[in-house]
This record gives sequence, structure tokens and C-alpha cells, in this order.
Amino acid sequence: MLVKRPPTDRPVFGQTTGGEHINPSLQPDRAVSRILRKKDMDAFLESVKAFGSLYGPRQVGPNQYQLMPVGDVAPVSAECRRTILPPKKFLIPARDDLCHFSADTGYRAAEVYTGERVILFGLHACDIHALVTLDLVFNGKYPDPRYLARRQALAVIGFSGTAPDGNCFCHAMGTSHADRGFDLFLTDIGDEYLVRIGSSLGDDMMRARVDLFGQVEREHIDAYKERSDRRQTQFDDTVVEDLPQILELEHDSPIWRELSERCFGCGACAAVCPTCYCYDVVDLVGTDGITGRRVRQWDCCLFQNFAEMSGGFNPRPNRTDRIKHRYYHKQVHFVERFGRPSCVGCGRCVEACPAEISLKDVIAAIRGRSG
Amino acid sequence: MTVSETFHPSMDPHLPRAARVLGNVPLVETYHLLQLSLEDEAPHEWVMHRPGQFVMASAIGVGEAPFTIASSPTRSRPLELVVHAVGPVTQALCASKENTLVGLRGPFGNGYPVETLVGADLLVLTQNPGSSFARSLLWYALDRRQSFGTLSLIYETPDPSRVVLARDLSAWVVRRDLTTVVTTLGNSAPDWPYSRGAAADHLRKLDIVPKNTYVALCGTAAFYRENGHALVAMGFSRGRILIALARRMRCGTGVCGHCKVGSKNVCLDGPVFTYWDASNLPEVM
Repeated sequence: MLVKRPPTDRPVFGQTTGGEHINPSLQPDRAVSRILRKKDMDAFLESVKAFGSLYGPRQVGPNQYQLMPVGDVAPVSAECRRTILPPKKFLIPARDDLCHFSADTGYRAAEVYTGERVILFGLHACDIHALVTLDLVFNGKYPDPRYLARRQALAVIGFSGTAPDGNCFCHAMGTSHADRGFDLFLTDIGDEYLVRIGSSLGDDMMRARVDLFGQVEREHIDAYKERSDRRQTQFDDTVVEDLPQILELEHDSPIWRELSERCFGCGACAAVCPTCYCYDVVDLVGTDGITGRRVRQWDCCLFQNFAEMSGGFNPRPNRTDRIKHRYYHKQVHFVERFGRPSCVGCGRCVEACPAEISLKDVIAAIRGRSG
Repeated sequence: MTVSETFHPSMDPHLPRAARVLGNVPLVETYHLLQLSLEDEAPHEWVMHRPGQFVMASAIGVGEAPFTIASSPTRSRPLELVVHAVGPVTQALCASKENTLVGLRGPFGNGYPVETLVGADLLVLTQNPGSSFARSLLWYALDRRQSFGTLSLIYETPDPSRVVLARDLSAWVVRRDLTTVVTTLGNSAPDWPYSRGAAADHLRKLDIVPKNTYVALCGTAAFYRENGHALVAMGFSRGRILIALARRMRCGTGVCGHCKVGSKNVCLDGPVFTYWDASNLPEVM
């Protein structure tokens, strides 16, 4: 049912109150979607390279993909479900210099990223949500200059056209669809892609090959809706709506200890997680003994010494505590702080875990009647 | 993609500023009082900090660690830290000579809500660990004595020979506008002129009215449990008992994840929490 808006006296942005003396060619272009034929995709990606370094998922092994530079021949695989490492590797390198130091002169800031724009093609909605989630953390009370320099140089071309597999649970986490966080977003609707334009840069990219793009017609809208309906049935959904409350209630469940007996504490889940951002800081002294650099590197809360202090006090001395901390951070504490879980349901942790621990199974167990 | 309109590239929260060691005073055991001054310090710059806030201090080439500012913002310089040599960074800092170059970032954290404390009675309970919080807050209150009601201190030491703030205590015990109880848990000194027993044993002997008083607990989790329990039994509201947490920290800016307790970052939301908050955070009590 259509909801009728109440009449208002205020002029609506982009319109004037009268309307009779508007030049139609000056009307703001409200159509934010276009159509791109599938056969034109390679030509379009070729033109996108003029806007920066283009990266896309490339197959590197059976069912293994990596975000790699897109070469002359288009090797981009749009069929990729998930890349081994998430796009965070472009924003928070596994190792990154914070500053340089010298015993004589003290500390000097390391350069922030000033390189050319990095365009990531083929990001799924879950990974786009992950970038927006990282922004919440790194652009908080103390905006992180290193992160933001890279972030501002990042362009995102999203893609939806791959059926989920058993490890995907983005639908449950509310991240199976993205309405922001991209410059362009391509959705497979059959012979064409519906291209949603999310920013001025995306608009520029589209206009660079405007000849390849068509207007959205009725048939495209219907095709999109049909696909949307079909997609709803492709996820076997885990219910997470009130998960924070259930986790609070099951804080002392034996499940956490059982889990700790399976987990190796290797940290693979954190390395591949698109929203795991914790880092350690180490000082590396050069061979001259007086100069060096301070580096931050990926860390993981499952590591035994993650929270250990000098003097030996450790708030989470055993693995049960650490596993619980990891789950509660993602699913409870992040919700309390930012209003949404930091898990985006990409399924990478399930795929990477050598102990075959699946977040979906853990949630199912914790929702089970006997805890 | 525009992420932040407020971001200025010149602001780098990770970059330590150069500071010099003005003095390094051995206290007891491996505790030292470090007196520091920023190289490019603006006049009265450290007046800007709050009691209870912390800095990230670096020993060049060794590493960085968080330290509660042990001096009061009412005394502009030098900045003082009580450093307990237990790891590589603290050992390097404690070994530093006068004029050694070190790095400083901060101040970080919330600190004590001094605006709220003004006008109230203040009771400080401290052990050796955590005594930096007590030192900063107590000197602040003593230097603004007219802004507070009664001031009381209970200092609990494991042994008479191991009082980290012995120098400060000698100034405090003679003050008439401060009630000071120094109590020892050990029995080693028969001629100890002060009190014996745990801090909690002395609470009821003080003339304090719970509804007019804020309590600052500075120490370990066990200390908070024991005294928090006793204070609540005396009728204190959990919101008027302030505890201070120490955690491993790498950034001080709420990102690196090491100091997380539940949904709070000790570096951003703490290190000072109410007893109510602390009771509801995991791994604290």
C-alpha cells in the first residue's frame, strides 16, 4: 500500500515551489540506476582503470579467490563467493609503520598513504558492510590518519550475482544487501546488470562509458524484484534477532568450554575476518642500534598473551574466556556500542578454521534448549 | 569516498612527542618516580589533564606502555609517573638517567569526574598498585581544598617497608585538613606507629556520611571486591564508588582492542568507572 505523504509548505530539495520556469535539462538527475549488458562488462572495467588501480577477485586455487590487480585481459571472476582475505587488507595492512624513531631525535611520523586510488571490484554486500563497520572504529574519537588516508583513496564497485553457499550467513546478520558504502553496485538480473550509482565518483565512472549504459525499464525492475524474491529463499537462516540477549543469558553455558577444547587458538578466523581490527604495536630497532621503526601488526584476541600485562596479570588467562570474549565482542558488545554486530556473516572464519568450528553451529547450539 | 569531514592529516594520535627525564627518584622496591617535561611544552600544558588520566610513555627502541599520571594538574610541571619496573619498557624507563629522551602521548582516558566531586566529601582508598590514581586525585583535592568537604585517605600497604608513596604520606599525615590512615597487612615491624589490618577494617572508624561522600578505590580487583562490598554494606550507592582499571594497551585511542572490557574500552570509557559499571562488566570483579 502506498503511503501518502502529508502536504508540506516547505520546498523539497531539487524542486521549486512553482515549477513552471524550470529548464528540464537542469533537473537533477534522480535516476541513480542504469543497465549494463553483461557482454559489456570487460569494456566497462577497462575504462574504470583510468580512475585508479583496479583490483578484482581472481581464482588462485579450487574455490579460492584473492583480490588482485586486474590485468589487460579481464581475469576477474564475478563468480567468487569470498576472497581468502577480506578488503581490510587494503586499509589495515598486516604490518604498517606508525613512526620512525632515533635515540637522538625522538619520533617522526611515518608517511600516510598518498598513492593512487584503489578500486575494488566485486565486493559483496557483506564486505561493503564490513568496510562501513571498520569506519565506525577507525573514525571514532581519535580518527586514525593511516586508515583514513587509505580509506579516502578506496573506491568500491559492489557485486551481487553469486548464490550463497552453506557458510554464508549474511542474510541473518542483515548484511546481504547494501544501500551505501559503494560507488557502484552491480546486481545480476539475467542478461544484464542493474547498476546502482552510489557516489559522484561512481557517476563519473558510468559517464566515462555512458554509451555502455542503458536506462532502467519496467522489465528490469521486474527482473530485479523476481531475483530479490528468489534470493530470499537461498539462505538457510540462523535466527540472530535477539542473539545479544540470549548470549547474555548463556554466559555460563558449558558450550564455551566445549568450544575451547576444539579451538586451537591459531587466530586464522581473525586474520580472515573482514571486521577484525585489533592490532599489536612493536618497536623494531635497526642494525645501528639507535634508530628503528614502530610497527603495528594484526593481532588476535584468541592469543594467550593478548590481554596479558607486564607483571603477569591476565584478565583472560584460559582459552574459554578468550573464545567467549571473541564471540561476545562480535555479537554483544559491538551491538551495545554501535547498534549492530561487527560480524557480517561472510563465512570466512568457518572456511579458515582448522578445527572446523562454524559460527552458525555455535549460534544454533547456544539457541538450543539445553544451552 | 568521503569518510570524515573533521579529519586533519596533521593530527596523528600515534606519534609520541619528545620529552626529557628531569628526575628519576627511586621509591621502594623497583618503583621509581619519573619526572618528565615535554620538549615543546606550551606553558602549563599539563594543567589540562584530569586526575586519573594516563599517558602512553615510550622508552625509545624498547616500546610503549600506559601510565597513570601521578601528578596533579594543579601543579603544572614536571609531569610525574610512578613506574614499577616489571617488564622491558618499565625497566628501561626506570633505568633512564636525567635528560634521557623519551616519548609521550596523551593524556588519554576519562579521568575522575572532578566537576561532580566538587562540594562532596572525598574518601580515597589505595594500595601500592593504583597509588598513582590516588596521588593525582589527592593532591588535586588538597590544592583545591576549599572545593571539597572532608578529605580522608586509607593507604593499605602489604608491609611497613613497602610504602610506594612514603614521601607523599609524610606530607599527608601531618595535615589537619586530611584524615589519613596508613595500615599494614604485615606483622614484620613491631614498632610500626600506624594502623594494622586491611583497609576495609578501618572504614567504619571514619566519620563519613555515605550520601555526601564519593569514594575513589585505587588498587587491584581483589581490593575493589573487598572494599566495594564493605562500602555498599555501609550504605554507599554503587554510583558513588569510583574504581580505576589498568589493562594492557597499545593505542590509547580505542582501536587496538587490548584494553576491552565488555563493550567498554578502558582507554576511552575509563580508566575510571563507577562500581556499578564495573560490577556489570566482564572480567573486572
